[in-house]
Amino acid sequence: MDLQATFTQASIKTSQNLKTIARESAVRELSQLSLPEIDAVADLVAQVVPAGNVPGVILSGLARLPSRRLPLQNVQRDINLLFRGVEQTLDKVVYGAFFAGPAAVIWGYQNLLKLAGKDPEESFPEGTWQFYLDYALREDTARHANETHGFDTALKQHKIDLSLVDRATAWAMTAIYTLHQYPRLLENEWRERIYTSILQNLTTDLPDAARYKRVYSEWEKQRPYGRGRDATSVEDYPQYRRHKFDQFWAKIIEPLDGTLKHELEQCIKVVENESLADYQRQLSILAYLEPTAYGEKRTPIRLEEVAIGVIYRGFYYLLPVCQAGTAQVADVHHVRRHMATILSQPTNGTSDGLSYLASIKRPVLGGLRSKLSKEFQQALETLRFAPILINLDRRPRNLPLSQVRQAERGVGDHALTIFDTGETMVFDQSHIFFDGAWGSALAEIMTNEALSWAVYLLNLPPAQPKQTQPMSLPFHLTTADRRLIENQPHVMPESNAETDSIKLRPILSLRNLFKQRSDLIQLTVNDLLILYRALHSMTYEPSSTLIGQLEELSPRIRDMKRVLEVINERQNPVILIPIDASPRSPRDRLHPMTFEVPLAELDFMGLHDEVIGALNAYESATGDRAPYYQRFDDLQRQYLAMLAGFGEILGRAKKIAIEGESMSVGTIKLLAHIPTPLQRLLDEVPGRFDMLNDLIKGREVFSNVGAVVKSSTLTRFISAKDDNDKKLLVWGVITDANGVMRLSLRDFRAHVGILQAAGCPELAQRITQDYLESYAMGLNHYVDDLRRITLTSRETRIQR
Amino acid sequence: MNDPLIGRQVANFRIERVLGRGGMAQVYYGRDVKLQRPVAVKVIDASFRGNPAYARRFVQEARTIATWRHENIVQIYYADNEGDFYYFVMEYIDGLDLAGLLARYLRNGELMPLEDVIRIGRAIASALDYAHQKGVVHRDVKPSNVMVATDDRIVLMDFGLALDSHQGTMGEVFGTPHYIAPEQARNSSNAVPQSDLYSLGIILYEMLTGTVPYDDPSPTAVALQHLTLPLPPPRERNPALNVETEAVLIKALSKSPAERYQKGYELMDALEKALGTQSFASPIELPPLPAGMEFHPQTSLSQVSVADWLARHTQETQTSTAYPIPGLPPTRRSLQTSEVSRQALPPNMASSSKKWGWLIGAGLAFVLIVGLVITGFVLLSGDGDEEEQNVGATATVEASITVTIGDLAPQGNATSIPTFTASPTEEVSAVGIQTAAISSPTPTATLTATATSTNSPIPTATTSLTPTIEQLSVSAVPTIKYPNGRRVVLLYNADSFYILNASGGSLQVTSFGFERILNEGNFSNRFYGNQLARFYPTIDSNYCARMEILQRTGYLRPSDCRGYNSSITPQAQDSFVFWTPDPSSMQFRVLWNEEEIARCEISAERCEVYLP
Repeated sequence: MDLQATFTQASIKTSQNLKTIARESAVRELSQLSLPEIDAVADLVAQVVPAGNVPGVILSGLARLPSRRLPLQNVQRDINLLFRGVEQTLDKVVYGAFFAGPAAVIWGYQNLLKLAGKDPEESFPEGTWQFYLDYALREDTARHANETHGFDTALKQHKIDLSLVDRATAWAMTAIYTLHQYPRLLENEWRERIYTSILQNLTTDLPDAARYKRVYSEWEKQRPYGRGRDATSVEDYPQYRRHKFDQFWAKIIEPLDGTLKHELEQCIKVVENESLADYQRQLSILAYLEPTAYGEKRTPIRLEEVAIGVIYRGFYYLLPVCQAGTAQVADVHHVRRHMATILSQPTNGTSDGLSYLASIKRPVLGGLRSKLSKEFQQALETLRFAPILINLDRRPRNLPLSQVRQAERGVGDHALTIFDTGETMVFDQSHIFFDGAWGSALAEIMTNEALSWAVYLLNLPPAQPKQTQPMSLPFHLTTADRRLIENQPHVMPESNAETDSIKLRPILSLRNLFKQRSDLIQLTVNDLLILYRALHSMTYEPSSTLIGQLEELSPRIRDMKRVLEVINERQNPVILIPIDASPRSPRDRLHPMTFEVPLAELDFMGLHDEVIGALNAYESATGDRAPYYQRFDDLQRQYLAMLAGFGEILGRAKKIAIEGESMSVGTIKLLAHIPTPLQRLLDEVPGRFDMLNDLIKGREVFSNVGAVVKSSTLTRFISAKDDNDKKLLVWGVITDANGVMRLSLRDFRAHVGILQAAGCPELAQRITQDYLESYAMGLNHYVDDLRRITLTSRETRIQR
Repeated sequence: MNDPLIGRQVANFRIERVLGRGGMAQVYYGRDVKLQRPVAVKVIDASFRGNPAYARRFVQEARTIATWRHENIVQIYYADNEGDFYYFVMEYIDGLDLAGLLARYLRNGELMPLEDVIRIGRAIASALDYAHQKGVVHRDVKPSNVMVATDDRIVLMDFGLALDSHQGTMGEVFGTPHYIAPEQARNSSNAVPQSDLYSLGIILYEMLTGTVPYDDPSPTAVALQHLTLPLPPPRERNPALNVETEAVLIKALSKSPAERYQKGYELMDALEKALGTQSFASPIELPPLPAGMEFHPQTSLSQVSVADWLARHTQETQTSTAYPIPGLPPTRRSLQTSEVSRQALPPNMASSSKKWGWLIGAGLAFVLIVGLVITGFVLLSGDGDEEEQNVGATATVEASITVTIGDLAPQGNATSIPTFTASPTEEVSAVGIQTAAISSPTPTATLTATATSTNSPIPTATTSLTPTIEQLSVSAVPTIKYPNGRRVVLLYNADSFYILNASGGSLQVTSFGFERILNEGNFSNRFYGNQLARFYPTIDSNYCARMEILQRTGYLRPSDCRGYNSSITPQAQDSFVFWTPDPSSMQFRVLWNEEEIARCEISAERCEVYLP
């Protein structure tokens, strides 16, 4: 029996069993669904979670629980059961080929809750995304990273020559203060979003509602990421930022009448009481992750127990963030002397480090560590109390970020690792604790804070090493340990590339041209990137240089056929676009939305070629050019309308994803000029995106953190992928303060593993680079084409 | 002071106010009354009308660029003449000219951010490459001929001195001496594409160092410096520049055209690459210390981007009481404007203007030796405060300086005035720039609420407006049949009609009806609300229903509409189009469930009504 048939058979059996339970009158009463509806849900669950009789058993259990809201422990237990059920029902090969991972299990479970008449929302009190993260963004490949240059640039510009000790101390103090201030940093984020969101909701019917709708984006443009010169000497960054926001807020609400102001205050108070503390708990990095077979358990740590981890020459050291026996922040002079001690350690010691453990799959890590030597286990246990690690061993700046982070970085139980390249700092972040936008903001905040410490430390006399040694963690493997960790499963191999070849200005200018042409053409920069990604996936041709290199290495690589298949694959991908959901509800954090560009339905490529052909014909025609123009004009209008429709669909989809609720699509149909195929597609835009369903469908991640503010020194960004092996490409985009768009690509396609195993990782790298460059250059070309098409209008003849 | 052209309409264009005056032409702000968009109208100056040579040059400019389409070149919409009254109509660019922008940076002792240098440089280079490809040399590339629009677009203006390389020139020397290429200073007919790129090089030099390389109170001396003096090393003026950037500027400003970059894009590619190696050049201010230490950093590049200046400019123009005149002042004069600002600059930036003065004599001797005869410089323009003149909009007028060298005998038939007509049947581009309406400092609109004496008892919202764009933002007097009723605003022009639901709740669009009121009192062009309700029967609060006549370009699209619940696109001749201007009617009436509730003036373009 083939794999698909095996899978289908498992689904059918699960479905039959589940239907038997679900049709029982007690369950039917709870769900209040009709029989056909029950059958449909049961089929769906069985299709995504073919887990034998486990779904039925869980449903029976759920039906016996009286409350509509389930305790989290029950949910976690049920989900673990479902995972186990699938593992037992499917053999390993079928499991690997068809099982869609945690998203499927959680989605299946949500449907079981529906059958049992429970409230899925209430049963995931931290939101579906957070729940999903704990199960599906655990691995080393699920960490994203960003880079800032502000620290070193400012030192250089101001000709500050900072000693290594002070450099390390500046960052250590920054990390220490960050941990102390973290709840207030989160509170600021929460307040800014919630205040503006409530204001927007309360003012929708006011004549100047549009103004209130823009308040958050106005604030985004002016919020400080560091203390300004107007900060008082006792005002720390969270206080300063809060103070700035309060000033901003006062001006915003000034025109509101008294009643509305009162209503606003009341609403804020209610929400604050209900959810601020929960939000701070949910997003806190004062916690460590404990890997279980199917998910991560977040265990909170008390501030007094917390330390920062410092990695130097491969050794791990811990510095407490509080003064001994108190919750007072650690003394800078004390930390500085410790740092002097660490940096003066003799070079003859060796450490096995932890990097070989960082990439081991988390589901097996929990079991593995309990089998390691007691000393090693103890050291790992202690390291858990360091949510922030600072790696002082310099990494080369010229490496892609994904490679910069391939150094000592703990084992993945913690929130953040900071790497030093000597010119920049790289922040490697767990997705469980940070989303792209918040992670970038924190990097910016920490960079400014470190700078302020640097200038302070500069004025101190040289530090003397301490007599007492800071706590160091002995990560030495015994022979038994080594044997144990050999052959453990590792995360998917990846190769990576970065480029800044995309020309942003022409894209911005094209958007202006679109606007001039018609305000119906509302394509964002990201829409164009997504659109071209789809076109690129269908048109990519490897460069001749790359083909040459492949041919040269062909005899050495056994599975070259598969490599070539991967390179030559032409498939329009389902793209997963992370959308920031926090302005509506900070604890929802992010909403991933999938989108498949309707290339075939709209014949984008065919139409593009036709328009360009007609334009060339018109431009090169002699004599009476009117017919040529007519032909071009017709196609041009059709094409621009198509682009307008594409933007409209994507825009609408994003809106629905952000707001997380059903929206009427009736209005869009009325937009004139949208071609019929697009109108049909509009009908297919669902009223509400099912996050988990989307996660299952997505094949590549396309994450754009946008353009940073002028004062920002963020330069690079890489996104992350969930632990589902079907996600093959991860695109990350950031536009720096100089207007340079930086694009990164993490490539997990099959050829990477083959070429790495064959000892040719550099070839895998070149394949990824070629793919990325061809995207960037192709996009530039495509934008040029669109500019030509949009700009061309009939020439005014002036008689000579 | 009264300009007889103000208020005059030529073809479809109403002339409203002066934007700039120059040597041989004026530029006016105008409005295309049919397409309802702002335009710039360039008109040959009265004193030059009848002068065939000027007329020919004027016509040449229009002809040169009328057939071009380039994002960075100003677009001509229309051209015509009525006897010796020559004019052409071009797109109106709302923004600042580059000379004005540079003066602002200079005043603050700052330099333009590098990203803006590259962006502006690229745009000029692209426009020049395009012109050169068409066989045309601009010959007067200078900051005051570069507009930086509020929508970020960069536009090269004023091809009035352009040389068609196929046709040649009479040999006059044109161009502003601060930006003129050496070969062009010798003789205008020597101008080649690389002469324009030299001028671009000077602009880049100025943007990157804060000064032009050659400066002197005497224009003659400046021209001589271009001819004779080596380039002052850019890094002497701005030590923050790297060697690579300096090398690019030195090459761009080679005395020999053959040694320069041959194409604009080559120059800009090289510059971008060179500047790219100056990583992270933006200054970062040190934050306050935990202990409260003070630190005084030195800054070089401005934190204020061009976009910020433009935003400020927009605010200024919205609040200023005098519309600034765009203009001609050479940047040199801007440099001299403020001694205070000069003192604020690093010493090597402030001292350039006099540095080369002593060499004039030597340069003059050189000129005599090579046999050139400099007969004079004529300053054709430049009155008023140059700082103010630089702020504003649109096409500038003629070149600021004419240098006549050598044989000036006109060639060809100097008395023949070219015919100059635009094909009236030709479509005008729909891709013209839509620019933000500029508010007039002295609104001429006056509102008069009058109860009309029609056969209806309904008080009518009427307006008596001098037709200026302010009308669009001025509320007409609301009808008062239901003063406590739900508020609805009708916004319209010849191309479009919008029902804005300002009632705070939702409205049934099907209850509306509209009819044109003919002058004799009858009604026609009945429109039923259910035509708008085919897909969505209600208008949400602050949303609009709209009708936009097909294939028109002047849709109002009011910003007050948060979105559109209903849209239809009628043909102009459809029987239910009731609001468009028509000699047979001045008003339309508004029905709500068949009850007449208001009458609106068609010319008012806005009417507030209150529903029962």
